[in-house]
Amino acid sequence: MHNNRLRAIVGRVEDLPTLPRTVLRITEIINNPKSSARDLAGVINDDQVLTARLLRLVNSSFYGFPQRIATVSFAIVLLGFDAIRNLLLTTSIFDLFNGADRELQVEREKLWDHSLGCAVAAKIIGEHLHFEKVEELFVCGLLHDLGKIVEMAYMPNDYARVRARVKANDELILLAEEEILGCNHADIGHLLAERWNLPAPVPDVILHHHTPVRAGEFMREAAAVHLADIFCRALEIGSGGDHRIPALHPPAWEILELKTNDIEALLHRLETEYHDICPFIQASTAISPSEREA
Amino acid sequence: MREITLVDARSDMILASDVLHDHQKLLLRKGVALNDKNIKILKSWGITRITVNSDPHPEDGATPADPVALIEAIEDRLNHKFGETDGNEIHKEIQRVATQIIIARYHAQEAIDAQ
Ligand SMILES: [Fe+2]
Ligand SMILES: [Fe+2]
Repeated sequence: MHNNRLRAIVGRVEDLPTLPRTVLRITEIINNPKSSARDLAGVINDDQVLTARLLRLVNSSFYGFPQRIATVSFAIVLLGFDAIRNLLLTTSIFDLFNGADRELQVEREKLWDHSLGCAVAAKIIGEHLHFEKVEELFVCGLLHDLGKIVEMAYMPNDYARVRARVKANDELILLAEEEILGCNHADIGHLLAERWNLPAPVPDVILHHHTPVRAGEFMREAAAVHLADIFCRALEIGSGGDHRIPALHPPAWEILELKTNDIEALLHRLETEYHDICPFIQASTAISPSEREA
Repeated sequence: MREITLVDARSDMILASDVLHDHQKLLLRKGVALNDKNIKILKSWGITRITVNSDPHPEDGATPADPVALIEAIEDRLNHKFGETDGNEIHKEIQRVATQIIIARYHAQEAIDAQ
């Protein structure tokens, strides 16, 4: 992976957008156990688009509150700190998936569904195994295939060749990327995560989500996301661009200390929770152009 | 007529009822065929669910009318995706449960369509 190709890609990554400041602040809040609802309200109030989204969401028929909710703090009281925190991070990251390229729009949407599915799955696996920070796992799941977005947005010609090869050989995108780019989406996503200073364990989990045993101190988190990825492929939640299910990295199972008997309940929970969260996220990300310009 | 989430909306589906924003502003009229552009516009207005006409000729094969054929198609697809499981117990279990869940998902959709 540490070859000239990757270095050339780093060059292009220099042109990538920086992570919105709001997202950085939300990740800080997530990582700080002392942060409060008031801190969160502060971040939201500073950002008009987020404020508009949140108020639209709580006033939508999805919640059906009888009276109109006019303030962010009241919304947080009603929906709860965790729900809002998660929602904001999710929707802010959603923006990154919303490029102008029409041709890739469908693919980007499928990748988004896959990413959201992995976020939910990683969180469910983490909860099942009593991980300390499950919210962190949600973020890792959401961003694990970040490198693919970079490919779509900044390397469209290379990405077209990768797609063509995946289609012709019906192989994993990871293999096609390595053949054509000399590196894969995990390497590329990792570069960007480092550049954005995303908090640990996100960059390491991105880099090792296909080979969790190499993730050092974050092996468990990487293994959870690795399994989450396989779960979402199995349940056909979105698509990461190929039609194969990679073999489970054998040590992942041992790292997680799961039992074969656990699989059934985990998959059923994923199916339910993913479909519960979906309209919620949709409602919060939909925003009219005028609000965006505001 | 069936209610679907906007995520599942596809070009050429026909709206079975008007799409309103906030229960008042008309966005799209009943009978209009969906396309990429108007789906995107509905999204931008925060619409999450719409009703569309049910497939007028389901026997034409979009979804196999025969439940056995449907289950077989799902099983084949997952078999292909998983490839050789080499007797790996974990893969086998994931595939078994996933197949069940996806079949149940289709049945649930059918029940909604039948309403
Ligand atoms: Fe991946
Ligand atoms: Fe993935």
